Amino acid sequence: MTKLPKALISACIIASMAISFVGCGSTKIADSSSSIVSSTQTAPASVVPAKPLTLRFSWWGSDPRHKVTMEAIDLYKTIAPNVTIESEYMGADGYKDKLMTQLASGTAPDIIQVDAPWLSDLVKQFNAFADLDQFKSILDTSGFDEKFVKTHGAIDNKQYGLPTGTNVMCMLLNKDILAKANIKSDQVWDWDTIMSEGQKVNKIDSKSYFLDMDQNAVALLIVRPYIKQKTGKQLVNDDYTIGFDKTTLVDTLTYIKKLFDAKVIQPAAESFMYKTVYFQNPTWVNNQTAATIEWVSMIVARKEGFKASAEVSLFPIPKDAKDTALLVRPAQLLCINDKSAAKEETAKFMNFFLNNKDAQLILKDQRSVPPTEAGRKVLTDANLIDPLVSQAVNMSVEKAGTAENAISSNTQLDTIMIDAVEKVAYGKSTPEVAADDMIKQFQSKLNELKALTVK
Amino acid sequence: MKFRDNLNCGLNPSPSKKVVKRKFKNYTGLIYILPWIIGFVVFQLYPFIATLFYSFTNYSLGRVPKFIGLKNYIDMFTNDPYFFQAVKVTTIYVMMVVPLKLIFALFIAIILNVKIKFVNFFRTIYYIPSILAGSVTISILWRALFVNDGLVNNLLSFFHIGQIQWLGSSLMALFTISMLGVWQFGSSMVLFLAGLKQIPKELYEAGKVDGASKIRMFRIITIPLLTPIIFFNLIMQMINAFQEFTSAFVVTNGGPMRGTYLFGMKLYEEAFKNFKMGYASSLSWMLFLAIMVFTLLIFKSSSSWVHYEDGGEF
Repeated sequence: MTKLPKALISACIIASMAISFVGCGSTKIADSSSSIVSSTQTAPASVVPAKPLTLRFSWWGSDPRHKVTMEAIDLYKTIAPNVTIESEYMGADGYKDKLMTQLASGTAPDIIQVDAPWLSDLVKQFNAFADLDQFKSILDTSGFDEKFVKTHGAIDNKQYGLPTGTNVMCMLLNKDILAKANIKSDQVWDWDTIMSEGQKVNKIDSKSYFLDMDQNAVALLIVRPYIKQKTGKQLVNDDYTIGFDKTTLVDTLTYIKKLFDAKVIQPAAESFMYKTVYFQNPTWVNNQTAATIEWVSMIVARKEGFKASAEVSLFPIPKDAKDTALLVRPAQLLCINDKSAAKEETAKFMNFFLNNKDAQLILKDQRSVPPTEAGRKVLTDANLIDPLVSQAVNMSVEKAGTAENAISSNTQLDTIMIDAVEKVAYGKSTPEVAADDMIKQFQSKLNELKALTVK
Repeated sequence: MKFRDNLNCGLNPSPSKKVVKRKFKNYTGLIYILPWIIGFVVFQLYPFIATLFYSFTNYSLGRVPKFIGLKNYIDMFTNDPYFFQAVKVTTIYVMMVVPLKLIFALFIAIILNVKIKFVNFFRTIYYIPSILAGSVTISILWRALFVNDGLVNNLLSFFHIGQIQWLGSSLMALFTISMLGVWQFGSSMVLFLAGLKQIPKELYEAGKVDGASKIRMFRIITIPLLTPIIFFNLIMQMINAFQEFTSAFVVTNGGPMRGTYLFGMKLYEEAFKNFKMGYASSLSWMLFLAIMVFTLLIFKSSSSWVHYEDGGEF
């Protein structure tokens, strides 16, 4: 073999490797020469562009939600055949980390499902989302409750996201287990009765427990509201000072300790390995749990294993609560990536997703009750809202507590709270010591976060 | 002349062509390793230098990095509630995994150092886990094995042995993920096997003649002659163990109560959950320095316990 072909072959190999390396880059929006597409669709007055277009849509959820969302996407294809929507879905765990990485690297999808507590951070840190007011002609927001939309999807008067559903905190119960433990069916649940009646479940059957909640759920759905109910204030004030005192915190953590000691909740050593996925705990899967405290948007998926005996109840609110702390907030928000190359098309899809009647019928209540009056009517008429979901939302909306401010829902503070819950639940620290630690770390973290706002 | 011509396959390059041929050959070699060079520069050299730079800034994704001097390094020791926990957990992990791994590797290598029919099959079987090292899938499977109602506990109850909460307490969980590390002893075992085969059989025969017991021969013949391999395996496994992340992240997510909060997890949390890239960079450089210090210590000590047959120095 002569030298020239050898070098040529090596160059070809390297070139092909280089191309395959580059080719594995991010998806590009398909672009082809413009062709006139004759359209006979019944889409709104705006003209469908001729060029084929690909939009990326990311959301989190579990299988039932993925299924209906993709069905709705298929429906959109019939309305706007030139637009292809790529689905990027996953479970909730890790979604936010992935999104933040994508926003930082400029590879985020076009339309993004976002949790309301994240909005402030993402907007301030990345300028991530487009102001939806500029799409007023495409996005019909008349069906939404204006106050709801402005409270939860707007920052500094700019509307960055629209709610996908109305979410409330509630209790999901399995009445069979309650009956076995001789707990009366119309029991009113507050923190005291959870302690007094909940103990009965494990006493009757040592494998059963009243509550199945992992450390994440305990921190966010018991500790946080418990504190707020006692203080009537935000967890963290707008000026980044802590909104509760040590006594309240010790009180709260003592309650948590009592729950574990009395076996109202399954011991931490067994249940805390299912962090953020308490429903994968065999105790839940085998229907040995009487109840959980959960967001209503999740209960349809959670009660799969005991559909016939599922019940809902109001979130625990003590009679002397200064604030019900019952959060009524968007199930999620839909936002448009500010760096999207096709913001108008994305807005059109968002409009379809949130307002189109047929889309509502497909999406059902997988993102809780629709936020628009029309959407709710469509589903109720067609009997597509799970009656438990309607019941929970209806009984909760009027008892709604104060919405949380941005700093109170900072996930780094959640981590500190979860640590405190773990220490108490595992019996590693007394509530006093854990409370001391938590306040110290809160202080330190808040100082750090405050320093970042001075820019 | 003719013979040499035949060797050159009929080619008879003139002196000037010879020089060109040599230069061209050099470039060809370079082109062949170019993909590796590009990969090295982009994925190793650049991050190496960039993290050093960022470790002196407060770089957080989405913001412009600001120079803050040694603040990150000072904060690590004074202002981070979990830095020492991560250091402690990682040290315990390394001290558990590395010796156990080497002991198992040597033990199995000795057993497999026989000439029976299917020994190669067994050698392969024992080697395979180490290829799967760092795999997320294996970690997921490991978790499924050791959760409370997992396969291991089911097996134990089948034999009427009580259930063990493998992931239920800090120390137990750390032990469980250490076992995952130790299970992957295959690569060390293969090296020990090669080392064992290099030991001259005459030494053992001489030992037998002198009446030495098997254990004595192991102690005074096998071990000393294996010390170069032990040395190599010790360093490689220690470097790997310090950087362990996947098993802690997937099996226990750092829990329970940060009992498996390896340094890799700390780094991950700071970088990708808190987005403090500057601080995470300083953490990674601290890890690098720690590994370098330990490696140098072992190298320094090697002159006293590593024995090279050819009397070579390192």
